[in-house]
Amino acid sequence: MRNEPISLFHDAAASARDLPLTDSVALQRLIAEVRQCDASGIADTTLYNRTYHRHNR
Amino acid sequence: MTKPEDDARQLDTVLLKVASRCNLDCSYCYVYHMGDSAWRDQPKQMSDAVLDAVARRLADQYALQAAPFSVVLHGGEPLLLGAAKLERFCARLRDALPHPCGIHIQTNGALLGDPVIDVLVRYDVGISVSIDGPQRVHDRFRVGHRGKGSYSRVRAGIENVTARADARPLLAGVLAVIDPESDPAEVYAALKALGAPGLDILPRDGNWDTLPFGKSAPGTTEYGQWLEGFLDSYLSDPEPPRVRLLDDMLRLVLGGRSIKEGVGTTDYGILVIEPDGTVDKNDTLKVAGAGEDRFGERWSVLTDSFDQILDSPAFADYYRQQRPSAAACHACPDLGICGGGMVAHRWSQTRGYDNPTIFCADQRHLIAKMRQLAEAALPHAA
Repeated sequence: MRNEPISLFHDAAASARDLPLTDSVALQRLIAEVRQCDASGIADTTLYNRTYHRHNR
Repeated sequence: MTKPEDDARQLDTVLLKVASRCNLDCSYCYVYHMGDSAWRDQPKQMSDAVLDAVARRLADQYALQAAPFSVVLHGGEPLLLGAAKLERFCARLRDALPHPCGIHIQTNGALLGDPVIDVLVRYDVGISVSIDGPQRVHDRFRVGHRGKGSYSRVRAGIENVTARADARPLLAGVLAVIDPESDPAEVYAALKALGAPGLDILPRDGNWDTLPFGKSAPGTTEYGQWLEGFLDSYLSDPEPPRVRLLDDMLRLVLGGRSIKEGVGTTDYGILVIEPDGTVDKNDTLKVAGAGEDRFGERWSVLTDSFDQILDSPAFADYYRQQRPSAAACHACPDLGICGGGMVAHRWSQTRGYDNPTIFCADQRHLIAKMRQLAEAALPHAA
């Protein structure tokens, strides 16, 4: 049984190695998707089901 | 799939436990090694009669709710059915649930040979394989009943799928359970090399009373740091596959929507059907304690409709439980991303589920990194 208070982390200080990641293919892909597709339903259940089920353990 | 304010409850994902036993004996398995022995009371496999009732009930529910849902053949190891029985099950399910309903299988991959792959192709069954990374990492925990690592068999199974042009599109992804003592860059490279279009990663199960493997205290960030390393590998990759957990969290950070349980604040209608036809809650609740995945009332597909179950107060309670109740969560600026994590990971004996996830510190560590990257990346976006 544990009742310790939860410590919350706020260590978001940037490191130099982070900078190139901002141009990353994966991140830019997601930015484009959110901008272009989210409003038209990229989270659509059918689309998602077709590719990867929601619960996998 | 509904937002919290929406009272409409629909089936979203059905886990069909077609086999209660497994050909592997992974030491961390939440089914067999987390203190719940309910699997011993189940038949080894679902019968054709129960499957027939499942198909009829699901077809009725599909007609009622109109929205498509996903059925996942699960276990134990679902491929223990063998090719002939698998064919009967898939044929019956596909007949009851035409496209766009999804039929999937979550398998350990060791039995993925041509006869079962033929069946999966015939009925358009999406395949997800559990594999933890390179052989040394995988074989540490994913072992057979005599303790021997399963990597070679699993990898061969995946290669049997990817070698076939007709089966390759069915491989939705590979799923790894995190060993926080492993090198995340090495795990990323090994998973990507398998050739699946998507990867997913899961933390080891645990709660506030039984800490997850490798986590030394609730406030430490072993998993957060491992995930940060995995994120670095992913974002540095010039030809990245999809990484479902990270994509989902990043989408939310960027102002989009999530599509996976345990992330964000969208609710999902997930039910489990046991081999004897009993209907249970999300089986991951076993992590909180024996029987935590059971409804107070014992429903069965043999006697009860899904409409009746979805409309019950017990289901409403279970559905609401997805939203975290802890005051710390409601005051947290990251709630919209983390969503309180998996319900099972919030458990403590003294407070029930009224806690943040045991991975709270890890989640906040990772989200802080994602927010920082997103803020820097948005000006670069085309």
